[in-house]
Amino acid sequence: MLESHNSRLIQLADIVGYYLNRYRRFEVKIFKNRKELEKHKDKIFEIYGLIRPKILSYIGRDLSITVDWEALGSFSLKKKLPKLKAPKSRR
Amino acid sequence: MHDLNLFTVLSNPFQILDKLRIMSSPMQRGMTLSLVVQARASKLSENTILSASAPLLQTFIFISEGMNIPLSDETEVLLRQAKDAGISFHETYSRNPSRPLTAAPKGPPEFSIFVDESGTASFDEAPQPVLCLVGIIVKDKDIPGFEQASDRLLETYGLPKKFEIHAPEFLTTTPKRPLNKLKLDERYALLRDFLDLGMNHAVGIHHLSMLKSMVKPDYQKKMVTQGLNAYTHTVVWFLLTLDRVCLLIKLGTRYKYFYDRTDAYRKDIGIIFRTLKENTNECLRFFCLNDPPIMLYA
Repeated sequence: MLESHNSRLIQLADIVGYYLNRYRRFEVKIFKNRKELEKHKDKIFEIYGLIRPKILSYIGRDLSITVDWEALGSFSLKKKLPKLKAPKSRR
Repeated sequence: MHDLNLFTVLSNPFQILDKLRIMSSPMQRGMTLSLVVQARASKLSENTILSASAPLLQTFIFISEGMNIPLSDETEVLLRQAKDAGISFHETYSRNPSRPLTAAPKGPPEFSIFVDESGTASFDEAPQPVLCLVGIIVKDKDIPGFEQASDRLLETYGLPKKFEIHAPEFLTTTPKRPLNKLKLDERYALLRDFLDLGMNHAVGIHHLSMLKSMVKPDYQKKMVTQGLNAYTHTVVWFLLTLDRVCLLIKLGTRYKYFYDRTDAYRKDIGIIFRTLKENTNECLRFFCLNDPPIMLYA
């Protein structure tokens, strides 16, 4: 059986998510709690430099992907998901 | 002859990149050669067959030289025969050495995506302004190599092979055993080395972040009316953009989806997948998921 604590790729996703999450807080300058991250800024940017080349681009090589954001307007999970739960805080 | 023309025409409905990928595949080149063999068995003249093959051969040259894909030995032979028959091609001769068609991969590579999230779904939690979903996309054949290399990396830092790498525990000033025997700088170096290793094995990273503090109250209400919250809303769009980006640009094939189970949302992901798959709205339908998502047991 495949288990998450044995999956190095889930662990890799965990770390990438951890740093991407924090990088976004520097990228968008309005976040008020950014000062708490200032002392880690160099490392967050260093790690982002490692991750960045592998991030898939929506636009490239003369191709563009258009996501129809309005499409969600006709989409509802409400009948099938009457009580969606929020995940517990993990970080 | 009719078959050769039909074969070329059949590829036209595809987008340019997909068309190039498909036309450059070993299977396509093998089929081309097979068609030529069949045509030669008929009463058609050699010049007619080679002339009809020329546009396809020119496309193979273009792809081979533009995308560093070697031609097969058999295709090169056919090219020489066409040239001997007086047919000219646009080529730079910068392509890689040819290889036998039998050395080509038998089928398309198989992919998996491993997904985890960072952040929480609450709109009111100021210390967590971002909710981020990340998927690491890998070729299945590369997974064992990555896992073995990860184990070796841990051993070089004196950690057991089965040690679970979890970002916050590496960055705290008071780690538990066995991490506590490493200094903070050493733990960071290990984390960076692990990431570096992962990036060398991954095909790509798909991610989607919700900047929760920027989501307007009206849109938050809209999510509620659709039965969604910040987390499940992000999951829906993560899956939809994954489907389109990975299918059309990067993978060109189906993939398997693995996610880390948490009791809070393990059922929701499965329901979202089924709902999207069954949805009649073409903009929201899934096309390239190989099977239902695979939950990893905690």
